[in-house]
Amino acid sequence: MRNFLCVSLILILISACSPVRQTAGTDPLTGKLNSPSPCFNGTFEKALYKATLDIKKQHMSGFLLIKKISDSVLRIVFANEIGMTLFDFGFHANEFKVHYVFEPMDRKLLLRLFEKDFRQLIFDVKPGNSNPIMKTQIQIECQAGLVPGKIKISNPGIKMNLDLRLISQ
Amino acid sequence: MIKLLFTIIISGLMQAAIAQHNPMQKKDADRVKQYITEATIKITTIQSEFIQEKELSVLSEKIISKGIFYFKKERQLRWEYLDPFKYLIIINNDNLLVRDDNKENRFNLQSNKVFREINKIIMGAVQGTLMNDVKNFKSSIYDENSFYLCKLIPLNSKVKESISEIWLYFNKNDYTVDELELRESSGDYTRISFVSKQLNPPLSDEKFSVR
Repeated sequence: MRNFLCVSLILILISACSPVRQTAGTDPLTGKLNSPSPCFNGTFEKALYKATLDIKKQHMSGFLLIKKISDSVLRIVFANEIGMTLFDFGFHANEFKVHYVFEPMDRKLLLRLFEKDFRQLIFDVKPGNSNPIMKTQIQIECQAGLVPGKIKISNPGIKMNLDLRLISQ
Repeated sequence: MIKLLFTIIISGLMQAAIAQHNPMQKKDADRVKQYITEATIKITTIQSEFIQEKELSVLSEKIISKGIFYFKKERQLRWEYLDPFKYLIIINNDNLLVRDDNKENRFNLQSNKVFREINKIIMGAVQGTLMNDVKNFKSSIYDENSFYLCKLIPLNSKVKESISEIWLYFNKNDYTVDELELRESSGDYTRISFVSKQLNPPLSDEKFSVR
């Protein structure tokens, strides 16, 4: 636990000290979100998933909507069943925008993990960070030309699991 | 002459618009509140289907879910989503059960302040008694064509972060809640419409079992 705290603190300090935020998965020439994952190819527009999110002992569930706004902007919104938004992230060409995050989830490390995991899922970006805390496992069931039906994202380092089941597209 | 006519029409339209968006005078609002309170006293159980629309204004998206809810005085509620997924919430006095797919979670409402607040809001919203909670909400009532609209602004800053306003739409015939809207500061909202509502049907306690 102490190790985890130390690593978290170091990660937070590193991220806080970085003068320029490098975002993987964008084309430096066009600024477009490139290399889409074969499961979220160029024709992808939107997908609505039933979602369960476990972070340590905290269990949350609801809807997760992934929507392409333009060639360079993608939004991911998670709301619980009653409709309360838990997070709303924007993936722009050169930045990750937190439009809203429910206060208890507003933790720098967690937000960095979400950013990294979703970029890895949607844009097939290979993670550059070899830190075990930031290691992500993604299981995805998809057929060519179809939006993935089931997705499982795990971050064993912080005991985070996100399960997605397609409702509509 | 045309200019004058134009001015009169415009100012008339503006007045109509202003009138529509002004809350009722205190005396009239108190009278409506009194009718609602009287109607609430007569209610011991409610059973209703509901349609929930979550509006994501920036994304121009609506997420629609449907289900059924049961309420029994004083503090028993079964809120069950049936489509497009199954999800169940049961509140039985101080006990809360949440069933999501095969996973069940039980909580004691007294142990958690957030749950206590949410419980109070849900119970008050379905019964329509929330506007009497002057300690936690600032309320105003609007007389619309076919309903009374009660707008509630939470006074608690923590609640306000998630819900900026709660709108309750009261039926003018029986003074019960036909629709409720939970509005967020981003402009998004969740609208819950009650359909096929039954007042005072017999409801067994088993429906509210958290065991």
